[in-house]
Amino acid sequence: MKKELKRALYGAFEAPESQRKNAFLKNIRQPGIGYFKFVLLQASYIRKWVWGLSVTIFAAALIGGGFMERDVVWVLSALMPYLAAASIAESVRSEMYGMAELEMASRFPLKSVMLARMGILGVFHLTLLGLLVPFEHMYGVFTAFQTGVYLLVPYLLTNAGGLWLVRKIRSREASYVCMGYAIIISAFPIVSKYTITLLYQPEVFGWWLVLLAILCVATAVEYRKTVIRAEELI
Amino acid sequence: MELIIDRLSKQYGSRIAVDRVTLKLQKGVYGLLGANGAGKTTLMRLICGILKPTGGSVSLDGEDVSSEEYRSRLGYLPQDFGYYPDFTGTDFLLYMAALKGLDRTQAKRKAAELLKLVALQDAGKKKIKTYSGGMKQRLGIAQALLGEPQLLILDEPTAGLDPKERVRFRDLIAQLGKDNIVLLSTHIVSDIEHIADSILMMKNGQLIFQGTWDENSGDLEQFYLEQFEEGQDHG
Amino acid sequence: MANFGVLYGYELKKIVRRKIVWITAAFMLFIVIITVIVSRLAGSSYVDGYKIDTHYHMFQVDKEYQQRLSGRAIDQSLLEEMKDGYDKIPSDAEAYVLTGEYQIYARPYSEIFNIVRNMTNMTFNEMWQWTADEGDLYERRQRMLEEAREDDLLSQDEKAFWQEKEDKVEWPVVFVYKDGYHQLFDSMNTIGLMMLIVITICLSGVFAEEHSKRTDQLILCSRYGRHKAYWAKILAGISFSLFSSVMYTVIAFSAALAAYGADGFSGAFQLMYANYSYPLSVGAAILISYGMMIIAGILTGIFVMMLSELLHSSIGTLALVVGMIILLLFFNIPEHYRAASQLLSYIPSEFVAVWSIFSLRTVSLAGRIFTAWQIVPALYILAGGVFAAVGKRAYVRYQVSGR
Repeated sequence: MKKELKRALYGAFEAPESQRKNAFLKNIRQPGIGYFKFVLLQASYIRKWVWGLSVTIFAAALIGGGFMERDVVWVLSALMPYLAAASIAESVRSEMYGMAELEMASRFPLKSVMLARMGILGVFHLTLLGLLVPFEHMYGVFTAFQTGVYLLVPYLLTNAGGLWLVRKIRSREASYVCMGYAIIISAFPIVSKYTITLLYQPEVFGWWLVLLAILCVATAVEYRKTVIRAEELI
Repeated sequence: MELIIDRLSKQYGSRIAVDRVTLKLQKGVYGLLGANGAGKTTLMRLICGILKPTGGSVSLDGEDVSSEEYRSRLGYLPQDFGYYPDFTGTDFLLYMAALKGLDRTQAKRKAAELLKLVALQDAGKKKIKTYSGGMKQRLGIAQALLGEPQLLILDEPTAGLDPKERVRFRDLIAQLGKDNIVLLSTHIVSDIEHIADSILMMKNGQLIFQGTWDENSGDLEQFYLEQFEEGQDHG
Repeated sequence: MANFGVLYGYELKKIVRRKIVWITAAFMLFIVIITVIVSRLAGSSYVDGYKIDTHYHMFQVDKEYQQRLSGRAIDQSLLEEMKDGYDKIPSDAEAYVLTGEYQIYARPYSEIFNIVRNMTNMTFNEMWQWTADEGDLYERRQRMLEEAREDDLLSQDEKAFWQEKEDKVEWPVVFVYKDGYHQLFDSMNTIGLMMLIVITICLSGVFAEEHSKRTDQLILCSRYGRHKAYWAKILAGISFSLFSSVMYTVIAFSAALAAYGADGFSGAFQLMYANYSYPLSVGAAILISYGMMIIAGILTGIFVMMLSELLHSSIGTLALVVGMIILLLFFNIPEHYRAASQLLSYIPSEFVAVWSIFSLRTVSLAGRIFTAWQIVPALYILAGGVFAAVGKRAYVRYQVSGR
């Protein structure tokens, strides 16, 4: 009944012209998104191939571990740099494509965009690594801790070096240079697996830990510098 | 000296970018006007031989556009050209001079001369990545003038130049137009008003107007807008 | 001509000025030193989890023993001395290298022991039971060679060819200390592969960057932009590949010879690679190996530049070539598909390996038989020409549009 009445009223009477509509609308506070929602939104802007690559590497590691057995750690070490390179590519996309100036001037500035993307991908990759380590330890010759270290070192080495390179180069060529750098880090374990077995001997593991510590610090420093640079258009 | 463009066409699939343009250009300055997407840049690229036409031909005094002799008489400034960031301004000009066939001594002399002409003599030894937009544009103009080209094709040459630089540039073009064929495209009507001997107007790939323009002919901008009033392409 | 020189100079400058070139150069230096010196001399040796000695001390001791025997023919008397030493090792010893008898009596002859094993394909147990006999040694060698030729599916002509070469090798072979060259031999595959990857990284932007930087418009409309400029780029890329390969070769040689000594250059190649019958010296074989590595680098450079123009993308070129190199590391064509597996072994990333360079499989041409290291350079020159021509065609036909 009410519906019919409403419909009839609409038909019978003409609504008056709206007055001072713009002024009225300007007074209403537009609802914005919170920081958490902003971060989630950024996840949707991370390119599909980055997620695809990460998942592919994870799947290859799980499945491949069964076939490659002892070799799996070397192959994974070789794949880690590509994860890191993809992560860097996402972080510096804005600068590369000339969007930096626009993003710096917005409510959630470029710095926030970068932090959000780096954070999302960093957490995602570390989670994948964390899931992989016990599996690979099952197949491989090393302890879970050693496996973790052997995988983290190339990842962080690519991260720290790649971010430094991208900061120095600052053009579209940066992604190519970063990729070249990742390839070098990646090729090393594959090519040297037989000739440089020394690197994976127990007595050398202490040096890996030292390297890991240095790389953790270097990566943190590079991330910080990258984010600081995003605060101002240079 | 005559540049003959005979029924020049360029088609991309079903889209016709340049539609049977026919022109005969002698010495002088020709201003090319047209809306965005009218086909000006495509026409210029066809004239420079860096785009192959779907139909028609371009020749300069009988030399076809694909020949080395044609290219040796050509100077081109693209709308949006690149450079090597780590090269200095001088490096860039010397490199372009080598591409244009100038010997080393001549190249060095010419490069210094042109840097002075475009007021970049103090920036010649600095890397191009340190140049402002206007400085890069002036460097582009300088490289187009290497080798004393008889056919100069300039696509939006005054973009990024401040008013004083624009006036200097106009004088330079007017001077060059006395002995050479200069074809320049721009959105800045006042540039064309002051220096062009002839006006060419393009719309949807076709040449819709070719003729001289002087003060007695009225306001060029008004005339230009009238030409594009009907069924303007908003692409 | 002078113009060409200027263009060439600038193209070389464009390649060398990139940061990635210096990063990869530093990395290669690190790889060469690690592969040639550190991998052999650093760290320690473990048997059943028990550390027996540092590698460096082991090397010093073994070097001294070998230098004492250097210059002696591997004849009856030396074979008997070697066998006497090994016969003193208790037969029930679990890890014989840990026994005092091995260290004192057998170890001085361990290199002779290894050479005899390689020359005859005898197992460890067979060696243990073998009676030292010079005639028997060379008979077993002959049998081993014939088996190897059968396994490689060689034709009768090829077998005759290798036998003719074998007859020219001087027997009994004279033992020499040759660790420097042996280490270079063992390192070649790693250094070669990394070098190909580095060349790929450095040259994948040679043509692609002209399109991404939008300088192609200026170049293609200039007088020499279509022909001279192209060849200047190709020559610059070739020069870069050549210089890089030669430089890393010189560094590897310097490191190896400084660490291990330059002795053994004139020793018989059969001391290092027993089943190869060609009468080559150790030095000649090493020079051939690294020479092949250099030309593989040059061909790879030309291939990468061609792809750079075809794909107009540095990253695409990089991904494709490195992907191919890595894939070929794991991919194999079974040996019984002789032609296919032989052709595969000639691809640069497969060819930078001693087993490919000194393969028994040959190529017959115009009634003559050519070994791999004789025919591959000619094939590479031909392939390089084809790649350069394909790249040129694409370059000259490039249409500047879509901007």
